[in-house]
This record gives sequence, structure tokens and C-alpha cells, in this order.
Amino acid sequence: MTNVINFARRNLRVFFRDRLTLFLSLLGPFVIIGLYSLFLGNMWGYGETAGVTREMVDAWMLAGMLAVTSVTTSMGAFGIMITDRSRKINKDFYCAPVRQQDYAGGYILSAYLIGMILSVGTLCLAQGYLLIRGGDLFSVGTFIKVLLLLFLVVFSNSSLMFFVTTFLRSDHAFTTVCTAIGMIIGFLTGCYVPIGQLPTYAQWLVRIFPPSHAACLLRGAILKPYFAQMKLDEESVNILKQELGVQLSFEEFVLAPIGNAAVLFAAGVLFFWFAGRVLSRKQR
Amino acid sequence: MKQIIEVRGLEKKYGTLAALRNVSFSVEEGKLFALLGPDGAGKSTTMDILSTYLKPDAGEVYLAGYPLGREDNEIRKRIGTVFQEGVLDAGLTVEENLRYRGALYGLQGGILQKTVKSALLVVGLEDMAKRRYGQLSGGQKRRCDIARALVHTPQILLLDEPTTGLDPQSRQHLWNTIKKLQSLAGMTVFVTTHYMEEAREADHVLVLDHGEIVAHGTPQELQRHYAHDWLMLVPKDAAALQEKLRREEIPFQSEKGTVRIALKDSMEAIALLQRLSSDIHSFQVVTGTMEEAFLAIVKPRKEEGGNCDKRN
Repeated sequence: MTNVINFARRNLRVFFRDRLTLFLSLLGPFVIIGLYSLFLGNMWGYGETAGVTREMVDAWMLAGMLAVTSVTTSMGAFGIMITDRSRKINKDFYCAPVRQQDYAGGYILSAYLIGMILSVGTLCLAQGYLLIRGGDLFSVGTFIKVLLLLFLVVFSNSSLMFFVTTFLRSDHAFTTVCTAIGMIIGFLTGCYVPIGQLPTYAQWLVRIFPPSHAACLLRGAILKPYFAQMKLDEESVNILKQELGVQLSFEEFVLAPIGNAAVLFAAGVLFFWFAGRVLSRKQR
Repeated sequence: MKQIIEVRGLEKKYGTLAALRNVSFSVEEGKLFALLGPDGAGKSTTMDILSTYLKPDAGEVYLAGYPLGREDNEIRKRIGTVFQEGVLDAGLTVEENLRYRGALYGLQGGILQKTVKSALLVVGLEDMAKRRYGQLSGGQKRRCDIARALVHTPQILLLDEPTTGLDPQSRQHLWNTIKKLQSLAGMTVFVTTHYMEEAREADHVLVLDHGEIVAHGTPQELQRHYAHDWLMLVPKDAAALQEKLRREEIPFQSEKGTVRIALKDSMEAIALLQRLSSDIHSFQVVTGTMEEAFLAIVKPRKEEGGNCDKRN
């Protein structure tokens, strides 16, 4: 375990030293917040749907952004693994008296920690953004709930990204995939445009993409006080929740938050297992 | 003297291409051992196997008494490898690099700090500790790589073409460091190179070509065996001298107005000069170089094989 921790410490240092990787892994969230401040935020008809305020839309956007951050930052963290491979730095590791599993563990641990650190950082920035725009502070309860959710969300999303990066060999391929994911992830998680306004096939893409379930849970936690203030009957609130991607429904079946959590956990375990399979096949 | 590296019948194939064919040698403890060969001879393959990175197809290898393939971790604790490609993190400082790599060997706290410091001192980089690895010059990077290989105080230092791409001054500096390590610390140094003049510094030289050992011995032995001393003559009348040599059946080469005669040993020059003194302005006896010895060992085989380019 000491080896895993030591190696993860090295990875953390390498990651935070490299401004480009850091920027690249925050590209997704930057794109969302940029697009929002400039265009998308103005396209909402505030007040038309009773009780949807600008502040609520801001919070909705920030919740989605938080989910995206956990994906792109853990992806960026796994970039260290790719660079080690492409620059043959891993040769040096291989020739030290440390087991290969410890290195894999070190990469995973550092990706998880980087995902957590940057997601919590983003959460704080999101709070700042809300305050600047005239909103309120998160309640302590909301903050703690979001924090706890992030543990699961980052686990699931970093596991997915671990799986994706096992297929990448070169720095170039990694940068390309990173940029592509940074760009499209906003759509895939229903962050640019609420899921309710997407065509049916696109809605399905969103539903089956595990990070959407993360966005869903985070929106639920952050938007709860706003829904509580709404003077709408329960059915209208539920429709609005589905429209905004606070709840995901499969035909008639509406997935409860515990369901979202189960999807995230299962996806996390599954992709982890897949990634392990891919790696061990390569080693043989 | 104890044999600290023992290699018997080493074989390695990449697909159908045999990179190493029945390579056997041993290295005495505390010696500087050079593996010399042209590009694609199998030097790096040998190095990758000795450093436990690559698995051989056949053969037995013992490093510091431990069998390769069975007790690799024991070997890894006792060897330090300087790879051809720089393998440190460009964004981290010299000191950070050494600390993180040292930690892989179970070093920590004050001991780690001490070994990092002394490794930097040995290679003369103590002033560069806070500098980022990526900002160092080529020669400094190489020295830092060596410091990394020394951080866990290994018994054997393996260096894969450490001077490639360095300017002559850095090369000299690096060699001084290597020799210092060998003589002061009694470390066994195993180095691959394609520079003959570097191989001259070694206690023992092994020449590898097309994956096979083609010559071995001390630099002096190789030089004696494979390189000629030459008698260089500046003739009064080139045509007349050449005619005389042909008549007396003395083989020679002529170039740019001079005549070169290969000597079995330099003493032979005295008799020749006496016979030819009336025909020459001046003469010079040139001793054979390692360069020549190397070319004599490797060149004929290249021509035989004819597939050298394909291998590179």
C-alpha cells in the first residue's frame, strides 16, 4: 500500500505541475460556463414556467457542470498513464522492485483524488458564481450531500475514464479524445440543453450514458430548495424535473435517486473490471 | 574475482528476427565493462534483458548472484539502469524526481533525503536540485538520469548509450563521473556504446554484431588483434616508389600522394625504411586505433550479411 500511495503522490505532483493537462481537463466545464454566460442562459424564458428563476437555471447549469468536471478531470489524470507509456517512463517503473498492480493502483488512486479535488474546487467556484449573480449560499445540508454524492460520482466516472484510456496509446490520441469528450460531454449529460428539449433518440443517448445519472443526482441535491419553493402541484413538478434532467425516466418508469446511484455504482464496478481485463490482456 | 553478471546462451527473437543469438559472457565485480556494436547489433536488447525489462527467449542470466526471471525483485534492488530515453518527469524538479523514484525502493524520510543528496553530489548536480528536469541541458539530463540510477546505491550500474547526442565536453564529463563511480565506489559498470574511443576506457570490451559476439577482450587486446600499425611514406617520386613496392611484393595503399603500408608490428618499419630510404622524403609510423579495430571486426560481416539496413 505504501507503494500505491507513493506512486499516487508522484502522479498528483506531475498532474498539477502540467498547466496544459490541467487546462485540458477543465475544458469541458469551461465550455459549459462560457456558453451559458454568453448564449444559452439567455434562451430560457424565465417566469413562463411558473417559478423557474434565473438563479435556479444557474444552479441547474452548475450542477451539470460539476458532473462533467468529475469526468474530464479524472480523464486528464489518466493522461499521466498515457504519457508514461508513450515516453517510456514506465520502463523505469517496471525495473523498480514494485508490483505492476501497485502502479495501476497508484494511477487509479491519483485519478480519484484529482477528480475529487477538482470537483470540490468546482463546487466552491460554483458557489462563488451563484453569489456573484445575486444567489444564496448553499445550505450546510446541501453542501454535505453534494460532497457525499461526489464520492460516488467520481468513483463511477473515473472508472469509466480508466476504461477509455486503456485503449489509448499516444499522447496525440489522448489529447484528441480529451478534447472531443470535453466538447460533447455537455450534450451527453444534458447540460447544454435540458434533456426534455432533445429529440427522442438523443434523450436515449443521455439516459444510457452513466455520467448523466451523476448529473441527475447532483441536480436533485442542488435544486431541492428551489423546487421546495415552487407553487406547483406535484405532477407539474415531476414533469419539470424530467424536463430538466433531475429525474430520468425510461418510458413510463421514473428512476428514483437510489436507482441513479445504483446505475453509477454498477457502471463504476463494470468499467473497472473491463479496464482490468484490457490491461491484463495487454500484459500477456 | 567474483563474477557479478553471468550470461549463458542468451537468445531473443522479435518475430522472425533474431536480436540475440547464443550470447554468453560474464562481468567481474568492480569492473567497467563495455558492450560495443553498431546500431541494431542487439545492445539495447541485451540491456533491456539485464535490467529485467525484457524476458529472454532462452538462456540463463545471473545478476549479483540472483537468477533473472525468478528473483527479479532482488535483482532490481541491486541494479541501477540509465535508459537510452530519459525516463524522468520533465515537469518535476531534479530533487522531486529522485525522491519519488527513490521511494519505489522503500527509501523514505531522512535516509531518502541523504541518498538523494549524495547521488546529486556524485554527478555534480547539487546546484540544480530545484531546477525542473525539462529545463536541464542534454548533458545535465543524462547526469540526472545517472543520479536516479544511483539513488538506491546499487551494486551494478547499467548504462545504455549514455553519451549519445551529447557534445564532446559533456561526454567527457559523463565519463569522468562513470570512472569515478567505478574506482571510488567499487561499482560494477556495464555500458553500451557505439563509440570506439569510449570502449577504450573499459576494462573489458565485448563486440556485438547481428546479435552475436564477434570479439571480446581488453581494449589493448582488440587493438592488437584487429588494428594494424601503419607506415606512412611521402615518396620523392610516387610512381617509382609504387613500382618498387610492386616488384618487391609489398602490399600497399596509396592516397593523396602518400603510400600506406600495413605493419604486423611497428618494429617491421625499421627494415622497410632501410630498404626504401632512397625513395622517400619523410615517413611516419601510425599506431592502429580502436576505431580501426572495430571496423575490422564489424565491417566484413556487414558486407556478408548485406541486410544491415533492413535491421535498423
